Amino acid sequence: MKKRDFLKSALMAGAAVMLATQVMAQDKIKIGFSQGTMNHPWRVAMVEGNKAYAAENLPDVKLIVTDGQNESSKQVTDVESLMAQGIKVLMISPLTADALTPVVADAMAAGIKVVSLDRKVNTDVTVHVGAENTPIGVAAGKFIAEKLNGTGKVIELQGTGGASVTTDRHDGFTAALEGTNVEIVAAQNCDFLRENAVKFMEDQLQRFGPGQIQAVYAHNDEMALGAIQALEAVGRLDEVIVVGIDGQNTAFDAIKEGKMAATFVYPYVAPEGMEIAYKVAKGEAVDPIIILPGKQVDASNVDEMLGKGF
Amino acid sequence: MAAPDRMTETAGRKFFIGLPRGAGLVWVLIGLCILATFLSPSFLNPVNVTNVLRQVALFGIVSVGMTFVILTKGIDLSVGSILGVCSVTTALLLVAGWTMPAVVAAVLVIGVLMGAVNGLGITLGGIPPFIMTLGMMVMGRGLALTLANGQPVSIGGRAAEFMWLGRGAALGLPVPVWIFAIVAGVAIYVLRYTTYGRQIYAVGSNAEAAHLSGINVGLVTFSVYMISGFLASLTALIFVSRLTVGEPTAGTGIELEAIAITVIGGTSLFGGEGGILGTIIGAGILAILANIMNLLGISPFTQQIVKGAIIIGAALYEMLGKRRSRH
Repeated sequence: MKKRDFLKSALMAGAAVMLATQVMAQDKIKIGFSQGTMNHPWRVAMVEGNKAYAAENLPDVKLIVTDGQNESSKQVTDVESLMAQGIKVLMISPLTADALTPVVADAMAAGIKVVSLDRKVNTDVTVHVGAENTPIGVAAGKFIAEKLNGTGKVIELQGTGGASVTTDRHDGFTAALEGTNVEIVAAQNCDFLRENAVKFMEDQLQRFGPGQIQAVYAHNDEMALGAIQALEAVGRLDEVIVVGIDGQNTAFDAIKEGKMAATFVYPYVAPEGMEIAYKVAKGEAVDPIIILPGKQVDASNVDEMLGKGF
Repeated sequence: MAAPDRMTETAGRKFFIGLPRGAGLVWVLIGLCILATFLSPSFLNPVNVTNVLRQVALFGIVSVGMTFVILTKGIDLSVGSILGVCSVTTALLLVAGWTMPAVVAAVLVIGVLMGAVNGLGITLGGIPPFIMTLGMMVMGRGLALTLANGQPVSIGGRAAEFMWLGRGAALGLPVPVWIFAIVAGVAIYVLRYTTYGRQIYAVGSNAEAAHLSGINVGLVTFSVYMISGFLASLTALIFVSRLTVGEPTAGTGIELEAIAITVIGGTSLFGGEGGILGTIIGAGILAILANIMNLLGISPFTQQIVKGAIIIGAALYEMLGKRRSRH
């Protein structure tokens, strides 16, 4: 019984403190940020970048961040939860387009402004911010076709199935390869994760012996680095060129060391996401689609990019 | 000393069959609600309450199936994968133009069949439930990914007519909550007032004795896995309706959630003890806990630590309770 009483008083004390802070936060603008997953440094950079910007520059904003933990149904629940807390603006980076569309449509219908970051949903939102992935896919395709002199075999490591990012990076790439003799001999959804890429590559390198693969196109740097790991393990890195996307510092280092051929800087939408969400919350006019510029980084310009990624 | 204690315990138990720890759990639930009200002004917001109820329902349906299985001293690790296979199948059949009733029937049958495979392996094959359902979990996920070609399957134009299951509401409550209420109600009735229900408890507490008393242990065991599979497929239908996609990865990890809910609710992993009432409260406790932590903006990583601690705490509490009653 004594333990119970102590527990009760501790809870009450904690509750009192919480209540006090809640009351003080009442008059701030509530903005919700639903992130799809935090299992990747790019996503962490997006969240931390926007949080830091809000903490430093926007004292009248209460930013509530949720993590979908790589499950669409969890992210849908997160958005519902944010809506119940009375947010004015919803920032969302949806895991997949279809699964999050109904709940985003609900938010828009309820008068909540929605800013989609990086990935899109299949319904109208107030503003979409992100880099364009199709041109990146095309640029990657052109780069590989040139390096291979128009003939060769490529392995494609794809991102999360059902995400607009993945579709665009794939479509752009295949479009650029049309008319060349470069063909994709194997492709797999590795969910943007390094471990998945390593496993898949190890098996493919058994399936395709030495000299049978000339290039690897990974939808992000983590997977590209995984491919490099697998290639190094069997000593075949020098006969395969590896291309990634994102612009991670570790990728820049790999390019400098000659292990990776190129990457494409893909802005992680921070602090732009927070800036735009704030403008939208204040009722300012904002373009419905804001495209952030990307950049090709290879051996020729990697020196100026070292350390500037995430 | 032992006799009077046991009598009061039994009297308390009779009132709360399915809550071996007596009313303790209910107080925890009520306590959490009161705490939540103090901690966040948004908690009692009707939209929030609806959200919490919906969460209870979504996890609760699978947890009811898990309770049946755990009561027989078994475990079903494959419910997540069954959910995945059924999600993908639902989407594929809808896209192929099947009528809604046909899709629902077909998917429920698939869930039952997958559960039956589990049951056969465990009863006829003599494979321990952990291993059998683990194998089914791995196979099932592979099957789901194969059927879906690794991508979520959108139900496209059929979304509008299929919406009501996961996103509709009746009398102010979401449809999934009604479905859970019916499922739980039927389950409580079966476990408390039917011979079959009694047989489940008997098999769980002492299979040998149950066998010697003429109960067909194999049949009872086989049946609970079919029930678990059925409820997993039912949840899959709701998921697809809610998300408008059949994801091959749907339900990943839900088996652990269901086990946690069942155990926190007081059903013993050693079989023969517990019930649906506890499971409902367990689902409520975990849902409210997650909700409070979300409303307070607690980092999702911290939330996981807290959740794990609660699960261990609940199990410890049960173990201590067992030790006390032995004196």
